[in-house]
Amino acid sequence: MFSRLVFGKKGEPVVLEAFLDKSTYEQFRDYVMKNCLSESDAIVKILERGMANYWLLEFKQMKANYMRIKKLFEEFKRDNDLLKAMQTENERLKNILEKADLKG
Amino acid sequence: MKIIHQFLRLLKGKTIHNKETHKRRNDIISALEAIESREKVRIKVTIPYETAGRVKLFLEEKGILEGYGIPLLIQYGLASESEEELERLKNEMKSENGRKLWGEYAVTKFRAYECFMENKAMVMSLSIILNENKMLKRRLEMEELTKLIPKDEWDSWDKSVVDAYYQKYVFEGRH
Repeated sequence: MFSRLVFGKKGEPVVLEAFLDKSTYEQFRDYVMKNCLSESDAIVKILERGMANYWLLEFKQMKANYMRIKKLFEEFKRDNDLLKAMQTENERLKNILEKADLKG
Repeated sequence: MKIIHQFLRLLKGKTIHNKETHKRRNDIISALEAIESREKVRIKVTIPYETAGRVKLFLEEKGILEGYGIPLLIQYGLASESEEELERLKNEMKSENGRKLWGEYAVTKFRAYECFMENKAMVMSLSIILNENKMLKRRLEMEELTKLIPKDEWDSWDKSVVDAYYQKYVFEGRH
């Protein structure tokens, strides 16, 4: 059920089976219509472009992920500081009370 | 939050060895495949042997499985970025800042994960810590040490705030 390449004899056309998101599939259909290509020819062109621009688009994706992770990290850090402050305060208050008990 | 979930899911993956669990794993894989393909559209085309060979080699070199790599290459091949935009990305990627960014991303991802796990452990005992804090403040009041009682953000926290923290870190926002 996963996307795959099914090779037959050497040199013979290969079956490509792919499962695409609806939006990607619609883009694919548009591409086929717009460029008046067969699905096979279109896939070849698309795969070549995908390989050629792979690192550029990975870079773009990484940048977007980085911004999201950075924002998440800031949020986690704020929570972390707060939760640690609560624990530290408990220790401090316990010390105050211990000292007060000793005096009393 | 999705990124963290994907990351956590990957880390939680366990190797399954015996026959019984192997069978169960196959069932799980079938179920996952079914879910995976439910929202997807299947295409089946023939492509030249040379192109298929190049795709196979390309994915192998990057250690990407076909199941993931083929749709990704199609998605990237259909990307709407213009030539100018791609050129701009190329220059940015080659720049010193661009090269540094990969490292910064990896470090930030690790630190975020580390922080998340630490918060998770603390949130597990948040109710206890919060009750302890309230109790200590009450005792200070009883000892007439009111001047030493700090005013804190968490003084007004009720069950809903604790639940929200629990939801965020323990249930990872899934419920």
